Amino acid sequence: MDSQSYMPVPPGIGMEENFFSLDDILLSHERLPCRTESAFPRLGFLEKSSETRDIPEGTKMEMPLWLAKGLYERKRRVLSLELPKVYREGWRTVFGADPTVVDLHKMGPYYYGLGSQMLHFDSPENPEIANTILQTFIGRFRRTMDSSQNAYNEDTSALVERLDCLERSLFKAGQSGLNSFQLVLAACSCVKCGSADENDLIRDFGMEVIDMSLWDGHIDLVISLQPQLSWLGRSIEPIFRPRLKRTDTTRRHTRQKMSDYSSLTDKCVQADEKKTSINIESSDLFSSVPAIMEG
Amino acid sequence: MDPAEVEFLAEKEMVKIIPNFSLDKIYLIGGDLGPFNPGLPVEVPVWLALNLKQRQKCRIVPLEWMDIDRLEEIREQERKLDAFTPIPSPYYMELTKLLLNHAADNIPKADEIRTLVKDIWDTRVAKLRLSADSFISQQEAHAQLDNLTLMEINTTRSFLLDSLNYMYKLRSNLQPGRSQDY
Repeated sequence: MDSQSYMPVPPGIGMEENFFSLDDILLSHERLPCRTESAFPRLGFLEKSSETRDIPEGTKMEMPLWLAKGLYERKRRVLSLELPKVYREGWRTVFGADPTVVDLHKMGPYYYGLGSQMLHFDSPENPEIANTILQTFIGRFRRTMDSSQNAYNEDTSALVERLDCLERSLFKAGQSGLNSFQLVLAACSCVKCGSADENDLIRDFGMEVIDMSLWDGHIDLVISLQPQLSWLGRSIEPIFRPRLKRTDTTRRHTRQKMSDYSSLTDKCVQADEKKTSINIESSDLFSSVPAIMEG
Repeated sequence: MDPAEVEFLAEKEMVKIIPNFSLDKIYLIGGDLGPFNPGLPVEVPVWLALNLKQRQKCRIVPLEWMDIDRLEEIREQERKLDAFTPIPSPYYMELTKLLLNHAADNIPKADEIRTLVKDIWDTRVAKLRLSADSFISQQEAHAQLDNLTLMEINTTRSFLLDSLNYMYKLRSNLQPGRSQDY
């Protein structure tokens, strides 16, 4: 459905990395603490704190993952790697106790990816690390699912900030599914121009419908106020008109509210003609619009 | 799959209308649509019914399951059972939305019907999420859910598949040294 000129390559499976995946490339830039097992002649410039020309044996330094992976060899002891603290015993028990409270973004935004890569380095704790990562994912899955499927057109930054990158892509998938469903659900026909749905309105008028949800059989329409307010009156009227099916008792009430509402739209039209902007009190708009629906 | 595509598929369902014009039998690729005589009910697909309704050439007869008592019964049953109850039409959500948006004047008590259908939908989607969650947390390999409709599956499809993929990735870490099949 999205036509892109660039198809993003997803991150690799488990312990393998995809060469072209941007996520994996960024992941491999994470620095890991390590200890050199042999001397590196004339590479003193790699380590900022030393002034010597060579890196002597046994230096503790930080290396990015891509370099560490390349230099690591089981037989010829060039490098020995220490696990970052998130994967060690202490944090593993924290994850075992309750995975949902941890701020995974702070712990290194690529917790799952980096954890999978650490398994290359033959530490004796490998099975426990792998298990912890899996259990953490399963524990946090529920919360990610609930938050992504229920936050429609809200500011999601508070929900997303404690998620790792892998979980963020999941969250995005959930959100896009929810958004497309709600868009289809809220599509309505415009009596004037045949059948126009919400997509047409957004395209033609730049209107952003924040929330068009059904609540107790009424429709609450909250519209974001864009600079060009004149189309606001003109465009939402045809949406409302088909919905105005009223019983006798409420007809009078509705007529009253309709006059409020039409004065509002008149203001909009006048403002447009005079090319001025108008201040609509949010109470004006929000009081008259939902009231019509209750009528 | 796009929800718009699901809606497109839903428009193939048949609904009864009462036209106010007359036309001979028309022969379409999908099938024949019987002769239209004013005042006599005829079965047509929803897409045609909506088009005629918008041009004010017909009156739509409400579907037999779009009735308050029936929907209330279904809703109560849905709330009682843990499994999904069979519902009258595999496209109930889209048909409700389409018919109530365009032909609300032909359907009695449209607002209550909309609320009831939304309640049923919410209950079913909540059950779906619960079973997806237990599927992932118990790392089962196989699950069977009966009586789900396409729209419900569609809303959850991308999220569930992605998370199952990630879980597979993380699980493959547990068996080191497994060669990848290419």
